[in-house]
Amino acid sequence: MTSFRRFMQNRTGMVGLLIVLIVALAVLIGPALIPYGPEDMDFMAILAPPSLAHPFGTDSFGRDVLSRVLLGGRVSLTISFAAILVAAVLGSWIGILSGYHLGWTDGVLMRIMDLLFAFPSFILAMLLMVLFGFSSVNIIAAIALVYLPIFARIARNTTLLIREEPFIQASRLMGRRPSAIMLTEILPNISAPILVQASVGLAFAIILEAGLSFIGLGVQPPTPSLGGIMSDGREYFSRAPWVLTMSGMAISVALLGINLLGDGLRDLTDPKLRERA
Amino acid sequence: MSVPLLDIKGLRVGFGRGAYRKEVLHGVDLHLQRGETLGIIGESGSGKTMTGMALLRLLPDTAQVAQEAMLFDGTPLHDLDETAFGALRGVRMAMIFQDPVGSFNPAKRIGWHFRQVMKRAETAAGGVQPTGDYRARAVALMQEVGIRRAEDSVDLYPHQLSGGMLQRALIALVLALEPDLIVADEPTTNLDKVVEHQILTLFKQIQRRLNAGMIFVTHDMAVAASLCDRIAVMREGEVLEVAEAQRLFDDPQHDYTKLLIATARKLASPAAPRGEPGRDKPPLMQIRNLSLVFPPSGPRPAFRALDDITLDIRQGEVIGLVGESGSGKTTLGRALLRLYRPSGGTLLFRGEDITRASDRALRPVRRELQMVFQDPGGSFNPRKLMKDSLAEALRAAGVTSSREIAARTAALLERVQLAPEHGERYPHELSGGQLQRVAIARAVALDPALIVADEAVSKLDVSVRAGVLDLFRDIQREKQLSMVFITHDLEVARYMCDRIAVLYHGRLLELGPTERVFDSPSSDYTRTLLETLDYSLGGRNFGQAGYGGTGTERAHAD
Repeated sequence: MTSFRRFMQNRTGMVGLLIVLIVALAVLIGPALIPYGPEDMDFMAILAPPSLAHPFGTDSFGRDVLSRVLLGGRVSLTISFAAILVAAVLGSWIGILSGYHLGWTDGVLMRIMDLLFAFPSFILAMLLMVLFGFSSVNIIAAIALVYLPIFARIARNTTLLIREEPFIQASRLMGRRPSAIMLTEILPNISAPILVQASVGLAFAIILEAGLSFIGLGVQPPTPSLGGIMSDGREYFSRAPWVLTMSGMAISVALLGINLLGDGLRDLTDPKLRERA
Repeated sequence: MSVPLLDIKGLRVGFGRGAYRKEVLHGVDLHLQRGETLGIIGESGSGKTMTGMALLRLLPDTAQVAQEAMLFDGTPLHDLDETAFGALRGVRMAMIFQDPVGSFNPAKRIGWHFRQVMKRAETAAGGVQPTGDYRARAVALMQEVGIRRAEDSVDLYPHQLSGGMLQRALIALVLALEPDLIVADEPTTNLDKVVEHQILTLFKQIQRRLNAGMIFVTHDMAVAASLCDRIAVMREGEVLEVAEAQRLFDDPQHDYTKLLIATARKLASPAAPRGEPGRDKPPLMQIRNLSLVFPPSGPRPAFRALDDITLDIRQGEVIGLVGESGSGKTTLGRALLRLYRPSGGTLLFRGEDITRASDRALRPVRRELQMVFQDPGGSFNPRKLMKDSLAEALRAAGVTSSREIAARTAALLERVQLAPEHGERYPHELSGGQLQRVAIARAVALDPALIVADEAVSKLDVSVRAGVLDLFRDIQREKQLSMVFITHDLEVARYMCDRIAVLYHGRLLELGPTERVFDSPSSDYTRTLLETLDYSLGGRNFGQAGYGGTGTERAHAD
């Protein structure tokens, strides 16, 4: 595990990993530790400012914002993670297929990806949500579709770089099936840039999901989501700024952690930086 | 004895800190007189390049350089600060790199480089320079180094010139500087034999003209022998022995020097001819009027890489494909294996037409056609253990039981003279020679009828080259397989091959038994190619005064 040890020496990456782990722990077990449920209303404490009882304050229904942020974070992160996973797996597959076979396979697949790329990501997601409805699965599909072409292009380009390498040729000369070559020879050798892109993409997916929920096209109430909480908070921002601020901060912390982790991974896989280490 | 131009004592270079510190040069002592050429010979990792780089302070900041003394023309170099050193480097000390393409700024015309260099030289000489006509001087210099149409070339961009022409331009730049010391780091390694021959001749001429001291770093014994006055042999960061070129070859002191010279001599002596194997049997592969055109891509026009090639590959023979880069020898080798789809002609393997067979239809035939690649490092999946790469080949050959795979893997490693523990390593943990042995093992694992070896030893160090070649030959005899041996190295071709095919610009110029091609070549191009051998270890002019001149003309400093 030499690469893991090298990652340990990367301060940026380690800080990122730490933040991501804390965020993950918080959204996974946090809601269970808090005495209020995300939908428990306390009409005695409507729009209460942050206090010991409610560290993030309460919203217009007297719901505990911390509890909602944690649960909303769980929903948002799950959706984003699933979307990126789907996009990375499908995108790599399409990209490798394109890069390995070239010819018309490449032409057709890449033109489809260009088409997806041509839509602004937000508009594309909105379109899909309007067409197919507002279920979590559809949100995942929408975000995945936005990121699919990015992964496909990265996978295709890196495949192009190594497809003429002698070890790939040797594999062809053994008479192995193309699918076996793609899976055992190409995929392991292009996984690093895809992993880096996935970690960066995860951050953007969270923003996209929050944005969709913010304008009401994402996760539907009463299920909390970070975008939804911010949207609520905006309405009474002048009276209770903590709702919007605290949920926004939560997103920022998560993004910071993920981006730092992504930077660390990128340093790890950059051969130029590797030599120096 | 006059003050030497360069005097290095106890040069040490290390990288890293603390427990990770690794010293790559352990106290190198060298000295050089004006007008003298000192050859530094060694294999990759011997520190020969490092020495030149340390001298010119071109090492990265992470390197720690220490020395007892480093005197250039009596001036201690290590006392100079960056500014003072900068005034020396690139003015009185010049460097010529291995890669001529990388030495030029691709965004600037050739003439721009001359202007920069000349300005620098004049500023360093002190005083306000007269507004010199850079262009005219550049053209004159370029003519001097034999660049055709110098007036036009001066306005071209680097990518519009060939590697040989660029290396000439680089030498012209050095001429413009008129330095006292030239460090040339493998300046001809990337060039074709014929071009290398011309460049070396040029080197000798300019070095004599400038009366400069030259350090010539190379791995090629023959080049060093014919170009250098004295030769230093380096290994693992130490200078093993320094001697007059002639003395070094006549009476090497160190065992390692003896090994290097013996290896080079061995390759220089032609192997005993063994007739023409497979002459009376039906040919394994018939190539009829094969042509291959790479389609135009973007601004590049279509390129005819192979043009009407007709050739039989007989059973059990070693056939050499010889030619310069761009001659189509690699393309032909790959077309034989159907890694490319030919544009015209036919390709018969055991009488069966495979010219246009689909990838799927080829799969059963593939196993019989194997290849050993030039780059040993890239030949293996970097994320697989060596034994897993071999196992994969065995599985492709139809071996299924894991016990048998383990046994056969061990046997294969043993056959190529490696130990079982080599199988437990990753590709980056093996040396080039070891990797090439595993590559041979992998090809053999599939029990092929034909192996195409594409420059299979050209990236290997001299001392392991002969071993790998012998392994190729033994396995070829043992398995009675046919082999296509692609090489630009005529000595290797003569050592290995039963028949030789000479390619030039995608055409087959000449085909015949090895001795016949070497003794009485039928085409002019082959003759030119063979002339480059005159300066090799077995060649007519070996040890003679060197490239392009007679011994008496040479300025000896001592």
